[in-house]
Amino acid sequence: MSIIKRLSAAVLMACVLAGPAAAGKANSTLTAAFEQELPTVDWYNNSSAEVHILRQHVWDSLLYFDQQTHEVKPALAESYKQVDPTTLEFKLRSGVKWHDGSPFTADDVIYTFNYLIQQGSKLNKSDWAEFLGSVEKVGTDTVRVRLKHFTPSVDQRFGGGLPIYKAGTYDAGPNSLDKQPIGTGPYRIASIESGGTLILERFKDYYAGSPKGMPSIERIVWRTIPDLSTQAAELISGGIDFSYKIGFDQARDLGSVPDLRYENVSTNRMAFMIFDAAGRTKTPMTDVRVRQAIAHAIDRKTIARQLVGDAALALEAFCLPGHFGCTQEVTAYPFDPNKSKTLLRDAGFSNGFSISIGTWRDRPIAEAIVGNLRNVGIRADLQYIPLGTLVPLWNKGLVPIIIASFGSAIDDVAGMAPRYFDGDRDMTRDAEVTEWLRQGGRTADDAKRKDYYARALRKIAEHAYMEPLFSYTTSYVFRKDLDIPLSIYEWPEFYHAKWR
Amino acid sequence: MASFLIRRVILALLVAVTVSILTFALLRLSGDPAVAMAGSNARVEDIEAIRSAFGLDRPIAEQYFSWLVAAVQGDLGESYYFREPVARLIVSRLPVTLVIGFWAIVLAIALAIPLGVLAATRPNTFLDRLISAFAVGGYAIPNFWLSLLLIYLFSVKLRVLPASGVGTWQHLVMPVLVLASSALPPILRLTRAGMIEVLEADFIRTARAKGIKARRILFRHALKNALPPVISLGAIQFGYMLAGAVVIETVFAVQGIGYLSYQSIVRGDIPTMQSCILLFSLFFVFSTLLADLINAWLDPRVRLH
Repeated sequence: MSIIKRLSAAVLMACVLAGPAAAGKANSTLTAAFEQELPTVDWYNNSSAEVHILRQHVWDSLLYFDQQTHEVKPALAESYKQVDPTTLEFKLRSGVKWHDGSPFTADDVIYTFNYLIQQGSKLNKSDWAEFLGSVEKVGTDTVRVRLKHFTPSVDQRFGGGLPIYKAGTYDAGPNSLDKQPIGTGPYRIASIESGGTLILERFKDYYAGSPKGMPSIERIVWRTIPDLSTQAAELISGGIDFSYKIGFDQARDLGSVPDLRYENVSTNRMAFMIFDAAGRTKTPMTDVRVRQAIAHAIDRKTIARQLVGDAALALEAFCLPGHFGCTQEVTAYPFDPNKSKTLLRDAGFSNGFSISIGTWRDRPIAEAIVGNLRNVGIRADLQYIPLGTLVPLWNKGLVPIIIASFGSAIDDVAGMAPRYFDGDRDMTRDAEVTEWLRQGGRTADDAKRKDYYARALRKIAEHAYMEPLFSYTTSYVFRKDLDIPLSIYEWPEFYHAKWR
Repeated sequence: MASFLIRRVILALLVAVTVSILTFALLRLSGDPAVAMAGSNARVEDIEAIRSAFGLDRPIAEQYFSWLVAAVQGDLGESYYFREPVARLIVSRLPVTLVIGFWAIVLAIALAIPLGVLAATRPNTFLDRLISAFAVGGYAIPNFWLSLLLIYLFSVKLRVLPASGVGTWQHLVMPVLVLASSALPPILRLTRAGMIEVLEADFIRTARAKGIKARRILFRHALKNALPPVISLGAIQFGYMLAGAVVIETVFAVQGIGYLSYQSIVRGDIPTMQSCILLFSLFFVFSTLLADLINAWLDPRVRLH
């Protein structure tokens, strides 16, 4: 055999032998890929989904929000009670350890919440903690938290976020947690490797009685792979075991690969259009018939099915089904281009009109909407511009129609609707709707809250102030022999996953 | 030579400062950085808090001069997204980009020069046309497409190379190949053209007439005279590579400067964007300067201009 052939064979063998390490089921490891790099491990300093997912695995909160049953369960607190509308008391669980072996105590809770109260709006997650008024120890294992005001679904906030950090975490500076990421969660950060890869290892001293349970999978390899096509290649070649947010058409194709499974799941985010009903832009948007005509012109179901995902829901009300206070029994606007043209004619626009639409995301969806509007004579000019450019224009009332999206952190109308009917972003300026939404967030009486929200949602729909479009979906692709419960919250819980 | 060097260094620095001013102004004209950082669902008070915390409420000229004074002292500010010093981010990510860029230019030159010489010695033959087609193909194929094609071939089908990441030399093979593919064509074509021109020169005819062997004429006389523009181009291509690494690092999940600059654009992380653009411009300017210096050393006539 010639030297060249020998060398070639040696190179090829080296490539094969030094290929990707065996992973997955064989050594109780799950390799998961994420699109965005983790800028920090500190949940309070970043609002990306990746940081939230990591938080779930490494840091526990006083309560735990069960994504499957939507219940709030005790976690670091073994029980809690609402003393009055603005006071909660948490009895802390004993026997909980930090990843460095030291005991979890009330001092850790006091430290964490006092830090949040002191930092206020400096925190990236300031809206999660703005309701905290004060915190104090009541006995060795009980803390009392006073809120600044009544806060709807406050238990979800303590269960879905607000992780507890060890006392002294920020003593060395606001970025200290990245240097010593110690938590109480079911996994600990064992190492941070080159290329942004994290290794999480099951915490052997994780407390019994946790609603998360002791994980079945021992090790999680957290990889950052920004390109979704590369993620697809890694799934096929066995380099990774779990991926999500791949485009649903590509994910569907991956589902046909023998050892992969595809799931498309509805989410807690929705897309909607907002109209300048208040007339700041001096366009036909002030006429309710024009707004209703636009609503009838858009084929939401087809857009959802073709461009969003199998599990996308076309929505009627400006809220997500299942959220507290949400009712879908509102004026509906089914796809009906003829009715749209009739309404436009009645409003004096039988020849249509020109208008601009602003958005910063989902260009194909925006273009589909522009196409639907063109069919009824509305000549929409799509302004696809970065968020940082659009929002100031929005606040100044310079954009007549905006296509936007929102993902609520809590399952409550209070988590979303009020934001768009108050302040600069209110394109409607309907004082009645604003007040109903405000009142819904101020009273502790559930029946009254539901009534206020129902009135607001019905008026929003009747006057077509907003056009709810659809709920977003997320596509997951993972190994067929991996069992992992999925939910609308887009925060995979690997501590509930297991290899079959 | 010293005055030549000083003049070129001053010019290089002036170019870098001009680029930094233009970048600074254009980045701030592209939108409200406070909103970009806060996100679409942020409250007005959160946005104002961010604006105040990062000094974005100061006049733009004041912001620029603060940045410039700090940058000269090595302080490139703090990343809005990563919340750590930009200088530290760059230092931690630069090595992998430099490694990929270095091996890519070495590979490109190692292939381009012999192929260019081969094509020049057989002009207008089938071999020459084949080599030219190879060069044109390298120009025409987009990097991201070639990247995905290689991943499909070597990772998915043959399973001999990892599709993404870093850690072993196998992880760098495909990124280096893709980056080299964009540098190779111009170097090859310039080598070919330079060699054809030199091989027709009088001194080469004289060398042949004196009975000097063809191989000696080719490598000792002709190539040495054809190389200076190739070296210049090689240095410039190295500068392009660092900027061109954006796509390659994103596709192959390599956390280098290219991916960092892409992230900074997507996140509206102005200090990081500003610093990456400045870094690329400095690399480009100084690689051009290096090329000029090498040419001046090789050809004393250059120093007189």
